[in-house]
Amino acid sequence: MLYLLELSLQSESGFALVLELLDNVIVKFAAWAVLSGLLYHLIAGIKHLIMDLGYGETLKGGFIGACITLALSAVVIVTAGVWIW
Amino acid sequence: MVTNVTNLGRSGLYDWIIQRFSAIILAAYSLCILASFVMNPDMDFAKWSSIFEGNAMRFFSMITLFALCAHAWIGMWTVLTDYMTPLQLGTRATFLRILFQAGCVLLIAVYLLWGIQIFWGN
Repeated sequence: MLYLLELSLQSESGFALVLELLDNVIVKFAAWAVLSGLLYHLIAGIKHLIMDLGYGETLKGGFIGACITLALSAVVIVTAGVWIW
Repeated sequence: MVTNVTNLGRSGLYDWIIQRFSAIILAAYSLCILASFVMNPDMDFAKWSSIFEGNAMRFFSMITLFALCAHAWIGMWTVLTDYMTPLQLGTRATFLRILFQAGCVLLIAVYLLWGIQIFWGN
């Protein structure tokens, strides 16, 4: 990922090479996998911070929060997949 | 089990607060990058490099890079001291965990230096 960032910022031809690399199905899938992990971490992290503030700190609240986290993550991850392809 | 010499802040309270603040910085940066993609559907090299060129964005990128490193250190420490313990690994647990943690720290150092090179190099 860092390599792609470096390449894309180095030069115009580097940027073109990144676009070319991202045309590859395997690279696309790898990018999607990394992005999915990151998005889930982000959403679960926001839920964690909300619970730190004292909201939903009950057995029922925790369950609802976990359900929302999983559902929202699934939607966002599918959206990311659509965006990549 | 030796744990308190391998965490970042040397105290749970420091780690706790560093982890929260770095999380907020990382989330803000992620959303900014996401927004730049949404606002530029026809992204090309000129637009892409101009996003990272300004001084404000350079500082933001750099602060985020530091936040990422701290966040990763604390996060890996938390996970490893929870799941690489004598309970799972027996008597050599501490040795194995510190070896693993050293690997993580090395990787974090590489990311930090490489990241500085990318954002500030050209």
